[in-house]
Amino acid sequence: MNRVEEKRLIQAASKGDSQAFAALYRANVQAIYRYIYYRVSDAHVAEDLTADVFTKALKAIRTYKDSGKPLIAWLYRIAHARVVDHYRKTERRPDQVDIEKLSVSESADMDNRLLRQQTAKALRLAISQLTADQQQVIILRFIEDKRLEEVAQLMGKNVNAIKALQHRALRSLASRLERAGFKIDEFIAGLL
Amino acid sequence: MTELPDILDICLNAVLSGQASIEDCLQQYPEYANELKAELQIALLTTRLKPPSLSQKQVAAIEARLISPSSRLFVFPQISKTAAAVVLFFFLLMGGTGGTIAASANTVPGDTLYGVKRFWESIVLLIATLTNQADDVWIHLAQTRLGEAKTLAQTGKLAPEHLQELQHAIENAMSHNGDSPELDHLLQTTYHTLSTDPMFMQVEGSMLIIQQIQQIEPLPTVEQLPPPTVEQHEMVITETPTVTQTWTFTPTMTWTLTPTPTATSRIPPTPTRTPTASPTVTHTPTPVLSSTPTRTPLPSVTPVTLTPTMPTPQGNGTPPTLIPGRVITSTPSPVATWYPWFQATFDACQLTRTVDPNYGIGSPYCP
Repeated sequence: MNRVEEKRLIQAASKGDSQAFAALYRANVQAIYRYIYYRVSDAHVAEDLTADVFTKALKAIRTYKDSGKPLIAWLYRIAHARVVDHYRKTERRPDQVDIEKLSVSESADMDNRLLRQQTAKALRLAISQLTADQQQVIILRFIEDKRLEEVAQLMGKNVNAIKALQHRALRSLASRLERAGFKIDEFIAGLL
Repeated sequence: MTELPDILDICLNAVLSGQASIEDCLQQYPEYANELKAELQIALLTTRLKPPSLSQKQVAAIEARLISPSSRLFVFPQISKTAAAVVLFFFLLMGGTGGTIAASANTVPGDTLYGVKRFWESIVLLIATLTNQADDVWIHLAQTRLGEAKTLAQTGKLAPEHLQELQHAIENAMSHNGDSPELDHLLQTTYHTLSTDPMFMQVEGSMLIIQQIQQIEPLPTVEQLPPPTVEQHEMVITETPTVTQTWTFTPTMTWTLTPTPTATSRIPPTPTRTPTASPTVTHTPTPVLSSTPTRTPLPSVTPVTLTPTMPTPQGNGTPPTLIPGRVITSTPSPVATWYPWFQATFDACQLTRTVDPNYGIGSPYCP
């Protein structure tokens, strides 16, 4: 959806056009779901929180002020607040799950499919344990496949800050997986 | 010199677009090979993760809930700002509560009139919602909660529930605003206060708010802070720069008032002015202005509007005409002395103005 169309829909939705809001919802729901999923590592919680985000957005769309950024930037903000609220209510933090429980020291002997599943699970868990900023950079850059400049715009930071975040996030993921015994070298070799 | 984050990004772009392999990059930057290898591998692996997604059925189910008639209850009938102002005025008249509300504006949790303040806020919020201005009100409310927390912190009465109130208001401000400068300013001010005041750091919930803001808000330097809002206006009041002005006039003129009584009139005689001293001024002086603003924190400063005038030397005995002079206006300060109840009135006015922008125009307490 281009910006012109998005602006038109926002304007219509702000006047109570539910179909316009539905169109905005359909255009953004999967991205918001993925963002939340990687932050909470639970499909059901992610689904509930995604619904919450759009319920909040629906209530607030009439007062939405366009600052020149795409709507998704605002939705990410709401999603972030919902995730923080979720952790506050459940009194659980993502780092309470130990990634090393997923250790695959015998990976070389494991079935490739199982290894892949296990590695993917460990990587998702490792992402959920990053700081919120680092998570967002990883999600936007490598899962949503956005350019560095787009990530900077969405997060309201400059490009150099995003580069630094990207570097720290990848370094942190690498060391977490390494500590858990994942042999990324071998796994990557199998992928390529 | 190119830093590792830059090199990493160059390599990422090349590897992810298929223009180069990880090995190509490592050969190009051998000094960073170890770090680059691990990070590029993880990035590549992440792009291969199967992205989670909601099924069509799940998407449709949420959509149905969103656009169902019950969820549309939020759409309040739109009423005009004038109507909202009338409602506000009516409320004020009905209970004659204007003074009470103003008096409650400066209260904090635990004060007798604090309930009045919250009640008034809920009315303003309701009306603002009806008039589509809840975004501004939530920012104002969050600023108010922050101000209360500061006051409570100073007296050692700050408790976790007060910070929960602050967080609640901030979250509402966030969800009602896009990326407005006012919201950014609120988040930055809150972050600064909570992360620098040791009284806040001791209270549970403080770190959660700090982390929440830290994660979402790019924190600028002080120079990057947006223009002042209501909260900073208070700072202006307490730290109004003093302007020292020295005016030197070289001409001197003496006027003698000679009353001229009349026999029949019971009205006190009207003095007429007659210049008795001949102007000896041959030089038209230029007023010397020494204006050195200093940031001396003074609680009260009289607003000064100086209109220096100079008498024109005239030999015909008529009073000197006034020549429009240079107008110097100091930093606006509503009144000479900023009593607490002025602040209360000011706060109440600002709150009301979020609903009715014309409210209190012309009032010295509502600049």
